[in-house]
Amino acid sequence: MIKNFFRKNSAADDAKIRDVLRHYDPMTAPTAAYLAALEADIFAQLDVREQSSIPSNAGIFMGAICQGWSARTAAFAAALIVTLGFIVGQFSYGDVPVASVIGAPSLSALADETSWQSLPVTEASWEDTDDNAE
Amino acid sequence: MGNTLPPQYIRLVAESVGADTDSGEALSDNDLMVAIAEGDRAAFAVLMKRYLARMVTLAHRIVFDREQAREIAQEAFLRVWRQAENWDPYGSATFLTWLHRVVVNLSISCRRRAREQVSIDVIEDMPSGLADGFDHIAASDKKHIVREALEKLPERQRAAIALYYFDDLPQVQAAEVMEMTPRAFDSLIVRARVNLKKSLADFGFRRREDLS
Repeated sequence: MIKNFFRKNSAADDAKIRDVLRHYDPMTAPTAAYLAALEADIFAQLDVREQSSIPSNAGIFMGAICQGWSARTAAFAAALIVTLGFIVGQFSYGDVPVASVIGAPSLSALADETSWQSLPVTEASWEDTDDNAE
Repeated sequence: MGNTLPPQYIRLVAESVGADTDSGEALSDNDLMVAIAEGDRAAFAVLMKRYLARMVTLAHRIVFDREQAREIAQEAFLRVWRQAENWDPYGSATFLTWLHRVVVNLSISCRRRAREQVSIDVIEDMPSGLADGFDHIAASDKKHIVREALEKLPERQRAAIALYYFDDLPQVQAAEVMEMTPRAFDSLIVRARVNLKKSLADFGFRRREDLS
């Protein structure tokens, strides 16, 4: 009768299973050099992550303003404000007159209507200044 | 985290520059976690020396890929560093149980992702159930066969075998790592043994003597 190889009848059988598996353990233990290299990698990762968590100047500035915010949150807020500012700038001074959509003339439109030539000329000209009296 | 050390961990600094490591080894895992929470890298190094080899091997037994096991161990210890501030030494789980759990969960997730990417061709290369008996065994490396049999187990069963038989965790602790009751863990181990037996039978192993 074929004995059931992995039947567990007692603690002794369990121990035998453990012995067999360990005897034919396909895994080799990592070497000291392998572990040392892995340790070094982990410390290197720590350095990278700590450096990447240093907030920008804008983050520090925002952090100072917004007391109680974490530096990372402040940095994020600063980056968000800069990004929004850039987008608004693009709309205001770029080709998309977003202000006209809400009924107000865009800055670019104002610039077109108000040329330098239409500005009132004052009586005091460059020739009249003391510097050019000679 | 800063790198300023509290006085009680100054001795750990000595270890980091190559001094005697006995003092660090004497500290409990919880003591080391307290030090790590304060940014003590020397304490972190002691903890790694204590468990890194064990965790790499555990991950390797589940994912069967040395490079993936390395990445899993690395991620697990980075989590130790990051989570040290939140570590509760009076919590329900010991540090070692928690670390085991992180490694097992990462390994199972990694293995499942890898399995989804396995092509049909690779599956066809797996050994068939029609092994040619003892001649096949004699011609093969038995360790390789055991490895193949273990690799065919589902991830959780493989993790249970790794924890209980190879890592020698008591059944209760192994169950805690797997986040299940001891009874459920026992059932999982039984299923793992049955499947292992089937796999080994495919290779011609019928009796205990076949492996001796």
